[in-house]
This record gives sequence, C-alpha cells and structure tokens, in this order.
Amino acid sequence: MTNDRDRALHELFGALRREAAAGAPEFHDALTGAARHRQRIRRARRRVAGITAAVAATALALVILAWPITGGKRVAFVDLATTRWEAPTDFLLRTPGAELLRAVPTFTTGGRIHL
Amino acid sequence: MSPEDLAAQLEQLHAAAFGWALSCCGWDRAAAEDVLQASYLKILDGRARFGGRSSFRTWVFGVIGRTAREARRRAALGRWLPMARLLLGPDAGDGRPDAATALAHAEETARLVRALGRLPARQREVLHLVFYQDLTIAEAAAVLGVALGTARTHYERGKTALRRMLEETER
Repeated sequence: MTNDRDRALHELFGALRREAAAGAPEFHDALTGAARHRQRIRRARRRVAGITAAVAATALALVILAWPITGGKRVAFVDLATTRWEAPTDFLLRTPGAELLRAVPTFTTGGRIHL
Repeated sequence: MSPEDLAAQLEQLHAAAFGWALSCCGWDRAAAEDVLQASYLKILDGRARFGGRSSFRTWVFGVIGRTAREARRRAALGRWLPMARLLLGPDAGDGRPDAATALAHAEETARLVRALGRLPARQREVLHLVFYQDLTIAEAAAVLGVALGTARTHYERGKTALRRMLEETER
C-alpha cells in the first residue's frame, strides 16, 4: 500500500521532471547568462563604491565647513594682537624694586624725586 | 578540477540542476534561471569549491540551495529597504509558486506544484530531492546540510501532508 502510494508520488514527480526538462534553458545560454550576471554584480559593486564615496565626501565636506576643528578639539578664536603673552616662568625674573629700574624719575620743585 | 571539466560536469547535471533551482524558487522560472546562473558563476569562479566530501551532484545542489536562500534573503531585504534592491541587484522568488511566471503545467502537475507550495520549505525540499531527483534521504540531508534524522522527519511529515493535500484537491 505504502509502496503503491510512493510509486504514485514518484510518477507525479516524474511528470513534473519531464515538464521542467522540456522547458529548461540551454546550458550554454545559462553560462552566457552567468557572464551577464557577473557584469551585473560588478556594476552593482561599482555603484555601491560610488555611493559610499559620495556619502563619505559629502560628510567630510560638511564637517570641514561647519565645524572648525584642531587636533580633534573644538577651539575658540583669539585675536593675538590684543593680548600680551606671558610665559609661565616670567615670575622668576621679577625682582623687588624692578619698577624703579623701568620708570624714569622726575624731580619736583621741592627737590624731591617723583617716580 | 579544471574549468573545462567543471563546465562538462555541470552540463551533464544541467536539467536536474534547473529542476532543483525551480523547486528552490517556488517554480518561478525567471528566479530559477537567475539562481542557476549565480550558482554556476560561484562554481566556475572558484568561490564554491568541490572538496570531494560528497558526490559532485550533491555538492552542486547544495550550492544552488544556498544561492536560492541568499536570493530570498536579498528579496526580503529589498522589500524592507527599497534602496537595497538598487545596490544588491535582482532577487529570487520567495519559495512560493508565482502564477505569473510559473512554468506551464498539466492539470495533474499543476496540482502537485500548488500542493508543494503549501508545504513548509524543508519538507518541500526533501520531497523534491527524493522523488524528483531520486536521491536517497541521506543524500538529501547532505544537500540541505541537516542531520539524517531531521531529513527523515521532514520526509515522512511532508509525504503525509502532500498526500492529504492531493487527496483534498482531487475531491
């Protein structure tokens, strides 16, 4: 019984196989199609690479234009002409009474020295 | 194996390979041709290499099955992400018969194809490999990359379900 039913399925699948075989494309057409498929894959890869490069370039341009960065840190612009630079070790050069050496003394009418 | 030897062996298997590709693509002819071409390409380019651990036929069927699954995943991705279709190229059927592009069938075989389309994919694949391709259940298990016991279970359940569906449609 089971064998008969299996045989019926075999026959049914056999009919399907014959139909499919009759409609199968030629092997050489399939190979030609494979070559076309290869070209399609290459084109798709080029497209992916192109889109990726365009997106990366756009992102980079936006970053450069909109976000001034130096060494990865955000900085504030300083007008150097308005500041006086002082070294951290300048205090070592300060001596007591240094202002006396830098100012030109004037003499008052009373004969006193005025700094 | 040289590319010429590979091509000669593939040519001998071509009709059976097309049948298997059809089954993997739900009898959608266009999708099956795409999957078959992609599989041949993998084999001839050396991206899929025959290691000699199974018969050449079993190995080729395994490559076709994997390629069809990849194509189905791409198709699913393409449905979710419209841009993915542009990037990933054409897709395959979802494993269910497509009335528009299916092969023309006689009444009897059309009933079989419809019934197969209602079976779970694994059961459909095992039944196809055993009844259509005349492979043993062990060979079918090797093609599908599943354990022998698993393939046997799919075979028995699939056979029972298929018979029931065929009987239902006969009434």
